[in-house]
Amino acid sequence: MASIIADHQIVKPIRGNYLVWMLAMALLVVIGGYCAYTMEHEGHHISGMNNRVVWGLPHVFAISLILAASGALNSATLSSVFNQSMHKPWARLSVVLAICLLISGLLVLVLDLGRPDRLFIAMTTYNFRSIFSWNIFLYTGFIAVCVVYLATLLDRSLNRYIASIGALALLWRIVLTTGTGSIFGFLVGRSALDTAILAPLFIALSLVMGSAVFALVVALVSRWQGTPVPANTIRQFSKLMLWCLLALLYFSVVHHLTNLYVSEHSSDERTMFTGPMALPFWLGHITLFGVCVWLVSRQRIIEAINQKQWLLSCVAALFGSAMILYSTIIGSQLIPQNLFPGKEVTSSTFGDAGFASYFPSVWEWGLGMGGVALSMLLLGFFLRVLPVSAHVIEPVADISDQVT
Amino acid sequence: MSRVPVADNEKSLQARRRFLQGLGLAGMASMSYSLLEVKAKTPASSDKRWGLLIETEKCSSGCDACVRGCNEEHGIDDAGDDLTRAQWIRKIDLKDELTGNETSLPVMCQHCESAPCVDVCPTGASFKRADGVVLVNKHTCIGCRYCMMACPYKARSFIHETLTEQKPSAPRGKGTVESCTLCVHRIDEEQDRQPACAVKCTEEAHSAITFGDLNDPDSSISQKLNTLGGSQIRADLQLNTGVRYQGL
Amino acid sequence: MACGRPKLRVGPSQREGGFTDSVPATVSRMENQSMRITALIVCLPLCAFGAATAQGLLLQRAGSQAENRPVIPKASKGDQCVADTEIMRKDHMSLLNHQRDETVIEGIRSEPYSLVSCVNCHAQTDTSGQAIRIDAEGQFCESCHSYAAVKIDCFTCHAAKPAAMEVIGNAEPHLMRDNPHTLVSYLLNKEANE
Repeated sequence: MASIIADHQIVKPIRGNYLVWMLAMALLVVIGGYCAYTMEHEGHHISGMNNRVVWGLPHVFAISLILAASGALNSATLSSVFNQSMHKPWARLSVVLAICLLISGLLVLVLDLGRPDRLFIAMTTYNFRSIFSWNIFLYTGFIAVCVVYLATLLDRSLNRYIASIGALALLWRIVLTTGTGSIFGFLVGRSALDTAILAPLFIALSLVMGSAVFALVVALVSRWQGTPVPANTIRQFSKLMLWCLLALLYFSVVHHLTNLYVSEHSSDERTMFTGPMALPFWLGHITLFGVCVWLVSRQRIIEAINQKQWLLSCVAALFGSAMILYSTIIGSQLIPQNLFPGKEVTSSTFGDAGFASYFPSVWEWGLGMGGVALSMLLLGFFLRVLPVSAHVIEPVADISDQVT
Repeated sequence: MSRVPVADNEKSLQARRRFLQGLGLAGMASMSYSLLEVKAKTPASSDKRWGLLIETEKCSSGCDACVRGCNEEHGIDDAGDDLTRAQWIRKIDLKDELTGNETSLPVMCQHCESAPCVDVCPTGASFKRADGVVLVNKHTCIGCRYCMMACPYKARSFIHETLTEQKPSAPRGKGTVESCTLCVHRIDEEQDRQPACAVKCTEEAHSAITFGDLNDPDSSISQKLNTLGGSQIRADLQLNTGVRYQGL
Repeated sequence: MACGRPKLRVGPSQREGGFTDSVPATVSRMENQSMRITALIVCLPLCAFGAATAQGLLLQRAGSQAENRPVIPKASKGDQCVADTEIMRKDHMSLLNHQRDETVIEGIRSEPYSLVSCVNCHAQTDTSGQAIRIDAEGQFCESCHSYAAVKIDCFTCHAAKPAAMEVIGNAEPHLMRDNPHTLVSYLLNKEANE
């Protein structure tokens, strides 16, 4: 096992535009807050959502953040549970990022509620038949587990618990992502969603999104620290990303092919390929496939990816998986619910025939972006007060890696 | 220390006197309740299962009497965007793809026995009363719209705008989800009181909507179901709906 | 800001500390400090909450001694509320909440503590005989609630005026039933008419 030399620091505000970045994020958070307030005050009619498309862009953002939170734990899991030394220096950052992303995702979800002022009711009144209720426990529990996890990583005297709490966190994140996928997986009334494969699909999505976000954050932090990300780290992260992408593509292909096969769903499934959601659907899949192919060729030929290429592949993977999530969440609502099989709807006052349409409003964009910015703002804050950003000294690790 | 502003001795004596009088009045009142045979004193019971039977042969295309009746009863504004305004009942015209037969029918909350909206609601605001009526408790609804995602009938509406001039019997407000209540405020009040849609349908000489107790074999709805039969929309989901359709 | 906490900066000597090796004392001191900061982050909101509560209590006490008490309009109908004034002032919300759950969930509509009855009796009419919202400025609910600085969350959904047909002796019986004394008035009226 390669012994990587690393220590952890707090970031310093003078380097790498830390303060500018934080101010920009704070501004976005304020804008997001204003958008949420306006949408709340005016009512949701100013959003692009309506009684047909009831969940919109804020939900895509919120689910993305929640999934990315679970996926961001990849490095921590690999280091604590699977003992991968390369990931060890990144464990703390990975846990902190997971906490920040989850808090932000939840906040976006809450701020889009019709009555966010009733959060207290949501936190005290539960219907245990609802997967949503379970998710509230899974999310708050995830934050709690991560906080304890972080403590064991930070405090030498608690180091001996790292492996067990890491295993708990791994278990928790699998259950959490399964739960998030199941929010959509049991909706019998919507043919595009009524399938249990959404749970593993969401796990794969979380792996991709989390890895991509984590990679971008590692690059950002290295900028703040003024130390480049080691080439070996980039290589390892890219390898991890490749596996995650393959898993995502696999589950997505299985999801859509099985839907195409079942005659009950096949016509709705075909509209996914050609209907109003075709653009994000194909864009997402083609992008992800492209990143996969590119990563494979890089791994095979020269095993060298520079930082720019690496970050570009992460941005592309993030974009692609967001498109897949968008086409899954929004697309499933654009397809009319078929109440009367074998009959054609000739007239209805509430869109029982034809596709619905959805154009996210500026308020929804603002709320979603505000959520992303909040996660980065929180991250910046935690990096400033806790010694979590790794300073990795690579050469020794590199040599030993090649020896083994 | 008392926080009551007008509480000197004499006034409190008066208040006490008024309270005793009030007790007397309350006694009278409770007696008169029994005189008027108020049924709603007892909670909704699972002995009953309220339901509707819609005879599509009597329902005519272009008629929206039931929708108007519902809107009047609950103070629903039918102006504005069809996609964001509340639609507790909508009229749908159908054409059979094989035979070309045309049907017209109203679709509202189907008051399922195993309602998906009740299952998914995180706070339990979406609930089924003992007598089978599916309702939203708007006091605990947080407006997450998960029930709308789950409803196979698209029967629920989210209130997108601030409402004013609500009816005392139909509290409704921005940020919560609502749907057909089977006019619980009416059917609880008096025996044999019909939901507004059924009343309006009869008033306009169609009589296509029959309301009644599905558990009572002698009720007119059960009798009609026995003779005419009645199918469920999306019977394949096995939700055992309280709203049945004849001739579908 | 960076220079404010020199102890937290990691010197070159520490950088050589292996990840699995024992840690120089400065690092653990640094970590202790960061733990302290974390504790501070957790404690701050708690302190703020405590301060706010204390302030609320003080304000409440000051309020009870204030001279300018709210002017609460008298009920326009009936002569006796469903419970003693003392009880209604203090417990109206729990009475309403209790009955609200019984009515919405169980369908019991005969109990007296309904919001509709409150509005029926306590809503005022203007000079032209039009009903005024009960939560309008200076009206029954608002006058006291603005004094006590408690937000009313009833009338975004519930009607703040009586139903148009709410005239004693003229209304449908079912409308009168949720209020004992209007019911009594109704019966007496009916008797007189017959």
